[in-house]
This record gives sequence, C-alpha cells and structure tokens, in this order.
Amino acid sequence: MLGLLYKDVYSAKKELLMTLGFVLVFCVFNLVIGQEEMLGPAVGVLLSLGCMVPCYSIHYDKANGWNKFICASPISRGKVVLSKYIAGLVSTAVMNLIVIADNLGLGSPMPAWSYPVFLSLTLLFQAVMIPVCLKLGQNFVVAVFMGMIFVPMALLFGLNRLGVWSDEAIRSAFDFVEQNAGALAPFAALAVVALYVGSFFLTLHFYRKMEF
Amino acid sequence: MTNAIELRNLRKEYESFTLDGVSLTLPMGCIMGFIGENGAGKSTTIKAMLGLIEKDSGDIRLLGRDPAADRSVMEEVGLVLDSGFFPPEMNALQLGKVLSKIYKHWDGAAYRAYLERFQIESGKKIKAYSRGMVMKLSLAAALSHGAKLLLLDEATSGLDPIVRDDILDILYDYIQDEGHSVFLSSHITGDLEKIADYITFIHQGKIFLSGEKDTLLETYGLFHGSREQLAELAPATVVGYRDSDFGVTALVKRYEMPGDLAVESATLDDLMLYSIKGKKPGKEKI
Repeated sequence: MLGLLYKDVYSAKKELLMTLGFVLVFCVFNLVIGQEEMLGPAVGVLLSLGCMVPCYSIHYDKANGWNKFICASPISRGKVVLSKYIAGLVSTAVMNLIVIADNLGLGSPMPAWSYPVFLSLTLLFQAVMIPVCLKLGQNFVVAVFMGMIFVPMALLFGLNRLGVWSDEAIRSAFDFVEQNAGALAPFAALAVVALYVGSFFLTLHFYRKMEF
Repeated sequence: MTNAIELRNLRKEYESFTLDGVSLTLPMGCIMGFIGENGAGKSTTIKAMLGLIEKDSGDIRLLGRDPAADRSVMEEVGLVLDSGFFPPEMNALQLGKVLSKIYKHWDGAAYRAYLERFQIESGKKIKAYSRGMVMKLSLAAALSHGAKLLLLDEATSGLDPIVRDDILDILYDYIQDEGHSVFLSSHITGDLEKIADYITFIHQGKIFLSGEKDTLLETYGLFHGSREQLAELAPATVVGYRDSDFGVTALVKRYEMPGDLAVESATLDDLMLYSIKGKKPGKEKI
C-alpha cells in the first residue's frame, strides 16, 4: 500500500509542487489584498484541485501501463483501488485545511459550519469522479465535474428566473439549512460516507473486471 | 518436482480471436521459448498467466500455485513486458523505493548492483531512457525480489543485437541456479535458439508444437527436391512446403524420410515459416 502511495507522489511530484505553488500564490494574494469576495473563487479552486488528485493518478496509471505491472504483482486489486481513495482523502484533507487557513487569515468571513460542508462536497465530488474516471476516462471526469457544479446552479438560477423559486424561497432554504445545521449534519455526513464507501466498491468492481 | 509453469486447456475467447485449449509445461530450471506470429496468442497466454485477463476456462499453475487464488506467488514471479510499465516521471532509485514496499523480499543491494552492472543512470528519469535501458531496468527489478520464474513478453524485440545479447547473457546467468526458470516469448527465434531448452509454438490461438528444442530441431528438417519427389512422400511426413524456381523446399519429419533423400537442418524460423505459410500436400495454401 505504501509503495502505491509513494509511486503516486513520485510520479506526480512536479504536478503536486505546481499545485501547491499555485495554491500558495492564490492564498497569499488573497491575504495581501484582503478582499473577502476572493474567498469564494479560492475555495472553488482549492476544492476542485482536491477532487482531482485521485483522478489524475488513475489517468496516469492507465496512460503509462502501470496497471499492467501492479496487477501482475502480489498487490491485490483491492489495495490498488484503496490507495486511490486514501490519496483522495489525503488531498481532500490538505485542501480543506488550506481553505480553513485562508478563511481564518481573512478574518473568518465564512461561518465555521461551512467547513464540514466543503469537506462533504469534496468527498461527494470524489465519490462520483473516481469510478467515472476509471470506467470512462479523464475527459468524462471533467464533463461530470462541470455538470455537478453547473447543472444545480443552472437549475437554481433557471427556476429563479422563471419565478418557480423566488429569492425569498431560496433564502429561506439556506436559512433553514443554517438554522438546522446541527440536526442535518449527521445525516449529511452519513450520506456522504455511505456514498464514498459505495463509490469504493463500485470502483473496485470496475477494476476487478478490467483487463490489461 | 513442481513445474515452474503448468497450463492445462487454457481458453480465452474474444470476438475475433480465441485462445483455445493451450496446454504447456515448463520444468523448473529451464528456459522455454514461446514463439508464434504476431497475433498468435503469445501475449494473451502470458496475460492470462499473470492474471491481467480473466480466463474463460482451464487451469494455470505458476510454481505450483494458482495465481488467481494465491497472489503471493507473484512475489516469486519476475516480469518484463514488451512495453515499459514503470512511471516515466520516476527515476530508477525512486522506483526501487516503491518496489521495496511492493515486494516482501526486495533486495535493495542487488537492485543497485544490477543498475550498476547494466549501466543504468539511476538519477535519470525513466522517460529519458532508451528502450534497451527500460528493458534492462525491468530486468533489474524482476531479478531483485527473489523471483524464481521470469516471464518475458517480447522483451528483446526492437532492441539492437548488442543489447539483446546482453539480455540473453543475463538470462543465462540467472538460469545457472537450478531453482530458476524463464519463459520468454519472442518472434526473434535466433535468440531462443541460443538459450532455450524448450520451445512452444503457438499458431492461431492453439499450441502447434511444444517440446525440447533439440528434439524439435532434430525431428524436423528441410528437404530440397522436385515436385515429383515431394509427391512420393507420405502427406504426414511433410509439415509444409514452398515452391521455388528450382523445385520445392519442404519442412519434413526427418525420421519419416526415405534414407536416400538428403535433409538439412531446419531453424526455428523454418519451423514457423513452413508451418504457417507453407502449402500442405494435397491441400490449398493455408
């Protein structure tokens, strides 16, 4: 297992360093200009990067024949898949910690309850993207990722424009979530964990069926 | 004594190709050359052995164990495939570190010694290596985790004669230990003639010939003669023949030939060529 994670780090060293550099520049820029409005895009970028790490690794393995080697090694396919999810959890943790640091640096314009929401969102995205990446490839992942962000937004704005969902209704929905965050959080967390675990088994199923 | 490889009626069906009833045995301490034209089923057989594809039926035993049920056997199987499979962004030292966590019996000192022996620049990224270097690196890795069986799929193809000879030397050294075995697929039959103890010839997904190399080369020979002489031979004696301006050349079973007809030695290339492309007596060209 450790060997698989080492391999991911070594093979994506340049990309990881570039990502960290990019994140650092983004965060420092944010803190220097001190504009709260920049926090939203920063969170978006950080969480996107956090989501993409295991997909990058899966794509890399496919493109470079590593699957052929590792599936002919003593390592089970289950461990190979597990390593992708561990890499996903690590990248999620790192990016979410940076989000927290960024928010704190700007004087905490975002409420603390948004942290688990971002964490859940990252895991939710990953849960969908990892099996999609393995089964359909990197290009589909980008499309699915965009879809997961823009389809709900388009629906929200579309319904709002059509008058189906008024500004007040949207605001009250957000207020409801905020006011009941304590009660909703365990269910949301449970749902995300269940989805993540389900995603692991789906990916494992795909991977076990794959021929190299 | 346990065989290094035992395949019994291995079958894998695709839409346009079927590996059909492949059976072969490689005794421990020997080298088997696995020959056949492109698309004959060599790589499919190896992939099935390694668990890279799922067999439809049949039995696979590597070092006496079923690799599908017991992955630990792969600790003792070294692998060199035709295309490199190590991450190109890594260098040989990083690769060693990764492999040390994958194989329980990884021998870092042996690995570094092989890198030195093969003159592999350990700090250079794998993507900067030549094909020959990548093959040598694969061999270094395969030899550094206590493998008792080496599986090589077209490992020498596309390499210049010097590098090929280096690789054959390495295999020859490796096989000096009687507990070691090598299964080497190649269509460069000259390489196999140099080092193989056994030859298995696969054609269109089926085993066409399998046996000791020396016995095969003694059994078959080339006969040069006229069409009339060929017509007098029993059809079962002639594996295949080709027309030429001066008559015919036929691959024949040496011991079934009349004593007055001269038969010269055949090579593995001849065996392949006449079996696949040769005409059969009384039949259309295959």
